[in-house]
Amino acid sequence: MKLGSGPLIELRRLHRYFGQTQAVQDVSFEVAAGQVMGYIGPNGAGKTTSMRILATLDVPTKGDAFVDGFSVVNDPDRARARLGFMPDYFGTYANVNVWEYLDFFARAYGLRGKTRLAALDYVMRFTGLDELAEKPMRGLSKGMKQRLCLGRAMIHDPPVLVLDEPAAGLDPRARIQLREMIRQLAAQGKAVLISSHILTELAEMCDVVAIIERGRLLAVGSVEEMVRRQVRQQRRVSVQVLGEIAPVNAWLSSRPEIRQVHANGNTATFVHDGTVEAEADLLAAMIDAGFRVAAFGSVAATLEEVFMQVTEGRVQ
Amino acid sequence: MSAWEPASEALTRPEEVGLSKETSSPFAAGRAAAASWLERLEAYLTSWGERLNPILVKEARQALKSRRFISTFGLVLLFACAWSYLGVAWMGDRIHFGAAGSVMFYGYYWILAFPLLVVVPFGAFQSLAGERHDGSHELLSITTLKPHQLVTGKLASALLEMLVYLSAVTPCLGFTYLLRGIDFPTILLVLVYTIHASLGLSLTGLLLATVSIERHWQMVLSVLLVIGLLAAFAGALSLTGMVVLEVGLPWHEEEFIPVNLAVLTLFWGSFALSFAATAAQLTFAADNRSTALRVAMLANHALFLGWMAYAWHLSPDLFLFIPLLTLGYGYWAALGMFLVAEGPDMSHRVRRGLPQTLLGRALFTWLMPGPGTGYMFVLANLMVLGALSLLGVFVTRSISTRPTMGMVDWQDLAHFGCLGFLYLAIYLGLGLWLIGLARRRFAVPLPVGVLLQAVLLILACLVPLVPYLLYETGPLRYSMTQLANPFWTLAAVLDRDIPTHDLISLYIGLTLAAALVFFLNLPRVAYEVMRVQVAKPRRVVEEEVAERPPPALPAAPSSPWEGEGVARVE
Repeated sequence: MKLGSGPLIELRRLHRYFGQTQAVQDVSFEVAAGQVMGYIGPNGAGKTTSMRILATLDVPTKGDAFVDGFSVVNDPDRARARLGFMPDYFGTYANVNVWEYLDFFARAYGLRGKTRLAALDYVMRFTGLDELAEKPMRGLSKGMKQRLCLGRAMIHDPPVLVLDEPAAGLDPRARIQLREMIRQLAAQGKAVLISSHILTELAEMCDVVAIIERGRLLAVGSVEEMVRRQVRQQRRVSVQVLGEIAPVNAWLSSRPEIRQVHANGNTATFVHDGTVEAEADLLAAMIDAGFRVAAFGSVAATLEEVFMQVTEGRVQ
Repeated sequence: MSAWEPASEALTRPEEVGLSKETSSPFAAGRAAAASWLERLEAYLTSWGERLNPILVKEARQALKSRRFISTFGLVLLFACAWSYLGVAWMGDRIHFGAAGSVMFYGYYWILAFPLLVVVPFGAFQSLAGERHDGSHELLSITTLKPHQLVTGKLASALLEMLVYLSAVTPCLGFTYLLRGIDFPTILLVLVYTIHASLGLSLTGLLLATVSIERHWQMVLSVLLVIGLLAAFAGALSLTGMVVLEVGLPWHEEEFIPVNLAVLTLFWGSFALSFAATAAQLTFAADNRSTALRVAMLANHALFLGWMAYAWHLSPDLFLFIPLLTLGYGYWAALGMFLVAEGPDMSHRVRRGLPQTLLGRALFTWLMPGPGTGYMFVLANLMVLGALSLLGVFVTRSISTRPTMGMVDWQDLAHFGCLGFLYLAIYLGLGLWLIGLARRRFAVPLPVGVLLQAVLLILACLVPLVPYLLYETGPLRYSMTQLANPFWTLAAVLDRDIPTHDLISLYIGLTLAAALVFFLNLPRVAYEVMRVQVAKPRRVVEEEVAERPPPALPAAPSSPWEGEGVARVE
């Protein structure tokens, strides 16, 4: 399979309406080879709908989506051959074990003979399922099922992976393992689109993040860029003092450029609307006011903070 | 080439299997030859297994571990054994002198028919309905398997299950032949028909499973299916009982083989249509779901006309034209309701396959998806059916010297054919027009479109009937107020209940209405016919070139001296 020269995933002015509900409105973004894009938004924001369109399970009302340059509407068969989809549910078959399940999907993707056996062997080892080959599917834990789901999505070695909430319900160890697997897949040159509610995890594994709410794309960019943009607008500052924190708290709260003051032990954190110079002036003013400042500095903004700032928390 | 693809992509072949080198005992050579033979056989089977439909492989694996299959198979064996002992004990000494085979066969048929006609089709329904409900079908639909492969796989696994049950009872059926009273061709014919019925019912189960993914609808459909399957089981038992125990099969009759051939070919025609419908239901929304169905409809129509022509050749009777016209019009009325309710949009993918030449457009545009082309397709088929029937009626009238089987006059049949055509043109055209109007404001999916037409027809029949029933006190007689009711009008035509002057008015009214409806729909039809082929996207062309590179041209001579007969100096 020869890949095209453009982005591996492209959503172009995608719209999807269900009656009066506008589930996805004018969403456009691209994911290049080797990139991991986090797709985040509150429940009902339109993430799953757009992922289902990309996976050729639904048709857009307007716009189009492309997998390696092939339209998911007009060339779904070519798009499917290049795409592995892991939905937020797990389709099971009765009386089938792990190996038979993967073998079935390998055959369904047209893998035959030694190629199929090699693919099965690789995927079983990659996902750590090789020891569970004979285990019936019904008896698998949530983490094992998620691995099996990932194995199924990558059995035909697609250049594009679309993973809808792959970390949901996983224990911390399984999450770390999943994160490692996704990083490895990206390192192999695959484009990965991943949705999750666990933003700290996404921040660690994603190169790019797209934030969607009420069907509209609110922001797209790298995690660093988004955080930098957030920091440019407002800075979260932490100050540690020797002695009582209550007077510091009261003093900070009285200043107009300071908001959201929280005290914990002998440390106070607050949001400061201003530049680095203004922050230095603030430190000088605190010392002048007689506070014994032990530590003073900006706290790095997180993806969660960016998300909270960008979204309004409304669902359709 | 994928990341894990080995250097050689060849499937396992027997040539790859090495021979045993054991030579230490005198029997070693023989054992080695046997082992080699078995290994070769295994390698062939493995190689063959690679080419099997993946659904069949998966379902066979599942069935071997499923409680339903194991218990049904066990019960078939148990009942077959029990009937063998009980039947023989019950016959007593008569078994030596009488012809006990037919009674024993009928007992075994009970045991075999239940799994074949009830368990297997219901299992096919449950399998697909369950997969569609829990989402595993979605995961399968985005693989490279085509919808027809999915249906074929499900049918193949149903057939495999049937053959396993059949194999359990086959020795018993052989035993009944030895007991006399039933001949081998009868056993074979009964089994052939039962397997056909089982396949047909399994396909019906699969088609019903595609109707809805909602659990409550699936429950309703499963209840309906079970009732239908039990009715089919009861029907098969009574028919087989009649054939085996009472009348036997009329092998000596001249028409026996043609009639069976007709039944089987019509079965396969309907099977192809149901298969295309099931695959269409599973096909991606932007794909062409209609052309295969229309081709199957056309093939069925041709088969039906062919067999009716054969029947007419055997016995040229006017009475034949009543089932011909009734079944033909009924067939196109039912299918036409679906065709005119098709979605009006055509994806770029389908438009890539539109015919381009003048002849191609004239002949094949009607096979392409769209409600307008569907309407014209049905009208064209109805015209062929009507014209052939009228021709047949006139020819029969001129050549037949025999009295007709019924009290049918050629004029009644001609009126029946013409008015039936006009009614169908009006109702289907009205349906198309109304659905088109509704689609300007709402989304009208295919089932809703069909329902809308059914409601229109019911209202057209019932509304004039209500005042008639309220105010008329005498016996029910047809009057022109019932003009909108095609069933009563056509029945009245055959019964000669319509006076001539009313008949003329009927013709004028219906012709005008049909013409009006046709012209109302003409813009829709013209819009669909004028669609032209669109070019493939550049990326698709690139991919096709990569898949099928153009044949390499013979290497051109690099210099004028490199031609034939010129010795090259190295």
